[in-house]
Amino acid sequence: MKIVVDRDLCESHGQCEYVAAEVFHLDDDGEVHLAATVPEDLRAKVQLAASVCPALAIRIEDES
Amino acid sequence: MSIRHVGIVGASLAGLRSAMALRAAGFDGTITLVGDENHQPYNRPPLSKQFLTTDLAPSELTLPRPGDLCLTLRLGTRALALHPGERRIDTTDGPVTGLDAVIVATGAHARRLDLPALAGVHTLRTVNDALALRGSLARGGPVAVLGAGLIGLEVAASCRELGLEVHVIDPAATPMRRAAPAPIGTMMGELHRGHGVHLHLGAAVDQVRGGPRVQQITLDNGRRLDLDTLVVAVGSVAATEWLRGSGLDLTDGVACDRFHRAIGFEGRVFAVGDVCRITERGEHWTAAAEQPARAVRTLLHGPDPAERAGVPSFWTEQFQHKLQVIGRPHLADAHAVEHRSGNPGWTVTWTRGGELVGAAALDMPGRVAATRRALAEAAA
Repeated sequence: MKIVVDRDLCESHGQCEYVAAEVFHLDDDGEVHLAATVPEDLRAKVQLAASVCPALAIRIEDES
Repeated sequence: MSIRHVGIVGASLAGLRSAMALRAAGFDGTITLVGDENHQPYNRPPLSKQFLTTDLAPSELTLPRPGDLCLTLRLGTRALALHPGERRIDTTDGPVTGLDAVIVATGAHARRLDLPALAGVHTLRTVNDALALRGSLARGGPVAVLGAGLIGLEVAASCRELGLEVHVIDPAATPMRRAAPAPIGTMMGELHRGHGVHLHLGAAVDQVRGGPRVQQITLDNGRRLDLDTLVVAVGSVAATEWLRGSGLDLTDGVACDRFHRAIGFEGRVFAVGDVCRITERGEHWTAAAEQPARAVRTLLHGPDPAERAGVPSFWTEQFQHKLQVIGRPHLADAHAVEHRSGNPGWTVTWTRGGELVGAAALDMPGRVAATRRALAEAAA
């Protein structure tokens, strides 16, 4: 699964980490870090993260 | 009964996300999405911020959506009545019939005050409202904002970014009283004063003068303010006028159980977003984004007792600062403020009987995600 976080759009709300902490992590400065690999069974969680992102900054590129 | 046709009324965030949740769940029947605005479903948070201070076009606010949603989209169409027994909605564009379920997502209207009908008096809810206000602000001010809530303060901050003189008037002693408890209002008030906003707290408008354009207001403390634009930002009322006579409980929004089923119409009528009242009405973007998935799960599969509500949250941006508030700080009996050295931001944590119930952070986003998880675990 290819996840894209648009850094220009990201406003460090942290909603993604709340719903999918296995994938997204905000450091103290609010910068988002993505897990190196994201197993397919987390797709629903990543979709949820994209839907609750207030900045609309998260996309799944290979959306099935 | 198998569900083949779902009607969604309201084509903003909650309505669009309801349609997306239905398709994501594999629903392959008909979805009719009715919205009274003419624009493609769009994102409202920028309306009080970047949209006022730049020349963003309305089309730049369009919400992203998959290309294969297969919606019957009826924009520029206002719902007039819901007849649950007859499975029908009446609209300005004729009836929508054969509905197996209806999701109400009509949101809210800006609350209006009984003021003279003068040019230069605005409310802010829709992109058309924002275009009109942007036009007024281009005349150069001064501007008065009635209401020191979230929208009022955001508009005031945008006015200062545009270099305009701005006055904010509110009967409460501190700003943002409804959105968050002390000490947030005091701290945000200081931020505004520091940026040259004139705050008139504990004051109400007594008289509005002008003609044909607004020219002056008099406050109940005798103070007169000359102005060119007056923004009324005194909260919202649920958009339920079209549901009168439907049988739904419409006391401050559509009364729902925690599965978003309209009380008395379980399985047939659901409500999401600003129009939905479970224990209280949501009124924040995050609720409108999260609730549709939950409502759609109930619609398709019935209520799941294991379903848990998310942690409430909202954010605001003023003067390039971001304030995030999460949890239910109004329940607190104590709070603590922490300033971190070398960081202009601060955090507030609220507790009740020693238990964490809410938190806020200004410009410290890293703190928010962890606190949100702690709140969710505390609520579990």
